Amino acid sequence: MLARPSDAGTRLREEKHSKGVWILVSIAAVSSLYLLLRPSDDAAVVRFWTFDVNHRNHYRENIAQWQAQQSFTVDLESLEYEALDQKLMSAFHAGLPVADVIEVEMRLAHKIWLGPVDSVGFSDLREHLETEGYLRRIAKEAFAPWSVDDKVFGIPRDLNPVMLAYRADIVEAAGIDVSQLNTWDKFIEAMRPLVQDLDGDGSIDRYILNMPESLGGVLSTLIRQGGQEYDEDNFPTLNDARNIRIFTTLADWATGKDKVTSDVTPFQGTFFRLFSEGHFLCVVTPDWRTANYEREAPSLAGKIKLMPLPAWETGGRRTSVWGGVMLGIPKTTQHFEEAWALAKELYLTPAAAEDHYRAHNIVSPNKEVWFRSFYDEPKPFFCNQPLGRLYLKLCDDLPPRSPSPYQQQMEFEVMTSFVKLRRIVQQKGLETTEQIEPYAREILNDAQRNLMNEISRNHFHSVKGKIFQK
Amino acid sequence: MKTYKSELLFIQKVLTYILISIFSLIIIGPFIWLFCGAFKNNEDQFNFLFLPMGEGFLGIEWSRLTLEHFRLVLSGLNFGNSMMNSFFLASVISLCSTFFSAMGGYTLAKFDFRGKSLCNGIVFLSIIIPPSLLLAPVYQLLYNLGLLNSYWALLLPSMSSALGVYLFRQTCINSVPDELIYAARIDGAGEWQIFRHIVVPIIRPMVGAFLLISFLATWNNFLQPQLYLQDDIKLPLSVAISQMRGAYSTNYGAISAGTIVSVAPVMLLFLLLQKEFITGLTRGAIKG
Amino acid sequence: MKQPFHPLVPYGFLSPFLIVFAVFMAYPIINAVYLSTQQTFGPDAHTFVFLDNFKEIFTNRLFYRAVWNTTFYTLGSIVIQVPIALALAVMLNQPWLRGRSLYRLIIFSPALIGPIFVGVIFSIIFQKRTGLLNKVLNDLMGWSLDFPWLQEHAITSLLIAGSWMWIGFSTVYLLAALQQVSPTLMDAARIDGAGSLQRFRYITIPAIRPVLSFVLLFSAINSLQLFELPFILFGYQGGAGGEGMTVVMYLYNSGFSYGDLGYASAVGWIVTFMSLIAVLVHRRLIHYFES
Repeated sequence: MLARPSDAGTRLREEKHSKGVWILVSIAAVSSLYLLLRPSDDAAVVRFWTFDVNHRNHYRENIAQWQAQQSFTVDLESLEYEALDQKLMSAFHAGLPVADVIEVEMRLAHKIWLGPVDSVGFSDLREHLETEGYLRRIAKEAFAPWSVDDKVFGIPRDLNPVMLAYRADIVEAAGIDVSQLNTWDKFIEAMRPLVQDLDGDGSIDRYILNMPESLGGVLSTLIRQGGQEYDEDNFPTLNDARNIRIFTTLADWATGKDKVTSDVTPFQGTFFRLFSEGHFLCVVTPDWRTANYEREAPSLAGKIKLMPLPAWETGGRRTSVWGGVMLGIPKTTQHFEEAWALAKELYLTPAAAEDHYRAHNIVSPNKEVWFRSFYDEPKPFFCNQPLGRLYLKLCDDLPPRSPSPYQQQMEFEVMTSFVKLRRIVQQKGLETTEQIEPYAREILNDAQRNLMNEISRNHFHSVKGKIFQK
Repeated sequence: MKTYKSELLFIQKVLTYILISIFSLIIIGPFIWLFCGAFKNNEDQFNFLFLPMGEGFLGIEWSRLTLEHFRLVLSGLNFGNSMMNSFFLASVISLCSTFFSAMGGYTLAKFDFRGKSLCNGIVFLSIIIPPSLLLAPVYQLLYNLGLLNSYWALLLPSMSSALGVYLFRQTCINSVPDELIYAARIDGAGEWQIFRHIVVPIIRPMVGAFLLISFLATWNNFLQPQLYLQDDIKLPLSVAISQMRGAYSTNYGAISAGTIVSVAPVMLLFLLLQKEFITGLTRGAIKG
Repeated sequence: MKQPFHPLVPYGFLSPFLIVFAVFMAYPIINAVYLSTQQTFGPDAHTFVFLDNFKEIFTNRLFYRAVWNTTFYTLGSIVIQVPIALALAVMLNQPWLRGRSLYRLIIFSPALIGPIFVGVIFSIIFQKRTGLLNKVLNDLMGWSLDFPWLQEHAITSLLIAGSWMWIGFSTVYLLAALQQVSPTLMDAARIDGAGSLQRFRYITIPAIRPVLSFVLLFSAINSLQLFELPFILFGYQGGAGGEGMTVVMYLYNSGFSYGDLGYASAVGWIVTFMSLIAVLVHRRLIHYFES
């Protein structure tokens, strides 16, 4: 490999420089030229960020129509979830540039309340919402996640009621009438015969319920349904007795020879593929998620129906809540009035409500539109069920959503605790809920301690003598 | 006896070829899979492990392949722009860093001056300090300097590299004869001229290797651009692909295409500079 | 011999490096000491907490998880990668081998693409039911299609992806070292009747020891900084229970996801401490094997 000296000598005279130098100098020259000539962001007056490509595609048309009547233009961009997270945090921390209107999801927004309340980068919109009457017209529950210390940091988009989506084709072919199955116990027992090894290779290929463990969402949703995540002061209550019971049951479902749940991460191609194949029959589904099924798994058309969640106890709550999205206006905006006008146009008009429903199946928190007939239109994809009406019926019984900045840690503890419990149950071969419960209690007590410890460590709240309040 | 030995050698040869080939296959398999995935439409993505089988040439259904993913990645997602950003950052940083590191390494190898051992110590310290210790304080420093969200935040700290100084120092000690420098000085050459016209040509393989090392390191760097840059238009490919993976998590074809587009340029560059790279890289370590 | 150069020349030549060092290394290191006694919310809001950060770190289970993961990954990747790389290098060094540079190129190629891109590729490969790994293993040996790589075997997955990426790198180094082993010495030993294993043990290994030692140290230090791969494969929280969490990810989360730069600096000091231990252990080992 080493060149002989004479070799090196002749080469030395021929090319004094590494070939790499010339290649890189030309690359540098071309790319610098490109960067210099690249048109810089022209001053679209109001800049709008959303965390979802599909939202962007849908807003694009609305905004195009709307801004034709306005004196300013809107620049619409969609950012990836984690990217938006990163950008917002650095913008609010370090004063980096940020858009004028931002659509964010709950978990992300909550981290922003983690510091001193005065340093929250979003404007307090309470006054505007109050004087223009929106505080009355919009369901109270919708504001809860965005309200800290009497300040309202965002306009709510949704209530996000939850139902259970099930493969009607398979379930009905098996002669099961789900309308009678009003508790989880009855539901699982009735469905149990459907858990099968279809191709006879010795491994089960059909489960009742998909319960992803790598994501806190579904687990937390089920806990919220029949248990309690936070007390009135928004302190976590993860080791609540009801939570322990729910955890115990879930761990029982996910283990043993009579395992009835699959663990497929949602939001990935694999999920929709396996849902279509009938690898699992039921999915915990908030309103916003139904549109994903239509888009990503078209082959499921006419095969899925929705039903209220079976209750944890007879007569118990038949729904839950999962997710939440708001529009916020950063304090740094130079165009508050324009931003506010845009935000209202996108979220608060009756037309916007209809639009959110038609595009994403999301029901509006604006009570004044609840009687509208578009919510009653049958949806062919869901066997002609009137999706909106079904979800709206559940909106009176929603469990609360908390503004706690520790929501992410909460979901992390929930999923971690569950995986831990599931493993213990597997290793020790525990069969009955009585055997599982003591372990569930211990694990949740532990998780609760972790959360409280995390909260008590936050000097920014304790310095002010109070922790976040409703 | 003799045939026994030659038979043994034959078996050894066959075994070696088999093992190396299996290993190469393991290495190259994911690449092939990725490549196939980038051309498959999303329906075929799960139906066929590699390319869709059918009636066509070689048993492959060529008509089912699509360029849609590349179109989405290059025009829809603006990867072309990100690629230019990556090219800019990687080329400028590798040129500057190689140049300044070579100067530093040469100085530490061939000059005697006060504080030399201190400087050597600094070089070793800089290599040993893990970059993660510096993340938070450098972020704060860049904030205080008002450099966040600007390319300066990435360019300035990378202007010179301790590893580079070290590698060039070793190379100069090993391959630049003192006599050559003394002779040049006696001939009245300036220090700059000596470095430029005598030293640089001798350490040319190391220059090529280090250029490529720092080019690769910058191209593949994720953490710093992710933390320091804000505007989408400024993002390099490493950050762009991680964002795209989140936004298009269901579209494996597009993810594959995006990865290929991001990886192809460095592969090409490596093919061009392969020889110098391996010579320079390994020589530094072997003699060092 | 007298050196007639201007006394300022060396300082001039070194100044770019020294300036970068002073501004982006020395000052931040000093600042890291101060920061580690603060609780911050972004670079602006901060309060003094003295040693609370360290106290919290040492009682935090997630942190221990991260340390354990990182250590396990580091040791695992050395144990897996170095022997395989050495074996490959020896095979590639056979004089009669054809296509050596092609093989070398193939084996080295994953090291060219950064951990981010490797992460993206392996996030699809490790999928249950649809991923390449489960599908191939299922075809070849009836492996379960549902094998939960990312869900249940986080560190194993990391080791697989990491080895895929880095083995070629070590191989190229070791191969270059093997090519420097003096052929005359080998011939002499062969004539003296030394078997191939003996030759390997008593001639090859001592000859490549410096490079071997470099490869070991490099793998260790590199593994301790593991961030991008698990960040992509498991998300920034490292999956359920932090199964895929590493120390640098932990640092990133506290500092940049939650904005506590003070806490992140404190974690940074612990990473530094771990690297120092790696260097010391490495030195001890070298010393032990040389005497």
